[in-house]
Amino acid sequence: MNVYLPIAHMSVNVFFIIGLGGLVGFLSGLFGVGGGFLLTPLLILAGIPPMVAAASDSNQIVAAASSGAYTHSRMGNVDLKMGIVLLLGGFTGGSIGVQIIKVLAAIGEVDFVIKVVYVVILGMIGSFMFIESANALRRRAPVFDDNRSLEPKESSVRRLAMRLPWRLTFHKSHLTTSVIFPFLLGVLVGMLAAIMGVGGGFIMVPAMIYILGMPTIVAIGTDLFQIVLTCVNVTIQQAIRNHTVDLVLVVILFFGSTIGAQAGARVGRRLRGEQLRILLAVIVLVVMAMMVYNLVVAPDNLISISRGGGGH
Amino acid sequence: MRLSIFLPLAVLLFVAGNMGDASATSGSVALHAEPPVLERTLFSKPSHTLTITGSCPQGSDIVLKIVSPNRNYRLNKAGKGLGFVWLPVGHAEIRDIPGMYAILSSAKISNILSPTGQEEAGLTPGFEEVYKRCEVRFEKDPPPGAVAGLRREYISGLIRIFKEGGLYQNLEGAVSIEGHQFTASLVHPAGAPLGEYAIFCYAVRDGKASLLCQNKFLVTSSGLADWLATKARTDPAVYGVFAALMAVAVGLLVGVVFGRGAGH
Repeated sequence: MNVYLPIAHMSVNVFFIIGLGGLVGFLSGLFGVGGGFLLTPLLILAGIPPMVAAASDSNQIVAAASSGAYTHSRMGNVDLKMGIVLLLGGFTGGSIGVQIIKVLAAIGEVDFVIKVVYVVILGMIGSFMFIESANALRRRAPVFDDNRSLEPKESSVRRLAMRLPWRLTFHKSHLTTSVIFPFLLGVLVGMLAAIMGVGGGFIMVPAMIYILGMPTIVAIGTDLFQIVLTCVNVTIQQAIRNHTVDLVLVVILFFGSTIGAQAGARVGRRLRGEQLRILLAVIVLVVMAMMVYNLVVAPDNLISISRGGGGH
Repeated sequence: MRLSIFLPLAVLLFVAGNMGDASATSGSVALHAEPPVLERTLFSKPSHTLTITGSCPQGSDIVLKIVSPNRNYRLNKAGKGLGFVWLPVGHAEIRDIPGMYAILSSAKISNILSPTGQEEAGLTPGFEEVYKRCEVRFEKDPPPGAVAGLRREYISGLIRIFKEGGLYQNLEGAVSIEGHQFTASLVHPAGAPLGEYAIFCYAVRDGKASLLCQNKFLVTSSGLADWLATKARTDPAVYGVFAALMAVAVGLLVGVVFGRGAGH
């Protein structure tokens, strides 16, 4: 069964896209991490134009993160004050990111830049996770998953953040810090959301835990809260400035990812944390390797349609 | 006596026969496209098949040329940068190039038309007519000596992309002729442009091609696919807010139903 994507201007097999959403949702549920950083490159590899893939993935993340944010807010895991500071940064970064995409599209460099940013970010995250998980497996002691019970060491950035002006006390997070650092963190994640079509949880959550010193469960709940609104902003901006949000693609992806996430979460309970993380690290590095291959192997056709302005 | 009766009769029949052919080539022959309107909906197949039928003079070969509305395309040219990465090193815009172009013939074109005849009628298998018709604007002006080569490189690169997507077709032997009737099937892919398409029908005889007749068919979008595409273009703020609110609503619904997040 085929469906015509009215914004991507292509016909796709609906079961293939559901399968793709389901696969990423499964991994998302299995590993307890966001699937955005995997879904956008997989959509690109499946032939969806990068700009449409990134923008539609941002919209899909709104739906996926809303369900998580709802659950966490009911459990009292959302630091609203911190969320608003992150959100202000996220809005700023998201708007800057959408403008960057618009400029890159105008000069025909958007596809290349999206791919390079992905290679760099996936390479960093994948390598870090692989090394950390391998060390944990060697020690036979969990490090990352169980950091709720571990007190992260006070980093130099955390000490600096506490000395900066505009300090606020965040009661739910049990900390007093300057709003400058979380704001800048929000800007970075907002920009990544726009350029890569990701939620940014894979950067935001470790930063909140290790640098700001927030409790893990509050970091996750607050992250989901800010992701919803940051990605709402990115979705609206992408729709207005780049016309690249494909609602049909979003609905199909979300259908697949919801089912996949539920299945993944059930399987995940049977596996050990470090085993899951090393598996995820391998998947991330494989996706990165595929994107590197795309960049370094001579293309069959040196001419390509610039996604910013094809067929108008 | 017999000769005096049969000779004028034979002359009359010969003239009448030729008159029939002349009227066919003058444009009174029928050319039908079925369906006359191709509708692209949300559940459209990856391609539609269009049947083109018509009448033709006895003993002629038939060549059909199907041309879509023109579009403009911005293109990148890849080159090696930093020693090992393939990145865009040049940009150009091709203006007024048909988004779909197909040549269907009853025989191998090089067997029925000389290269000059192909060029005169715009029926070259390599789509030379397209190379002549479209305009190429370079982002940075190349050296004068390189313009022609670069122009051809960009157009041939785009045509290659189109051919891979089934948008540019050259199907020799795809037109079947039975007596005075011909039939051909055109596969029209979902990625082809919307709008009014022209069908040109050429009769080829003794190495010469003449335009027999022409017709049109329409490709439109309708239903939800059309509404979404139009809304995204004409009312992007409303479309964006609608997309975001719908995602929030669906997410909350899933959160309530499953009682847990679906990841992010």
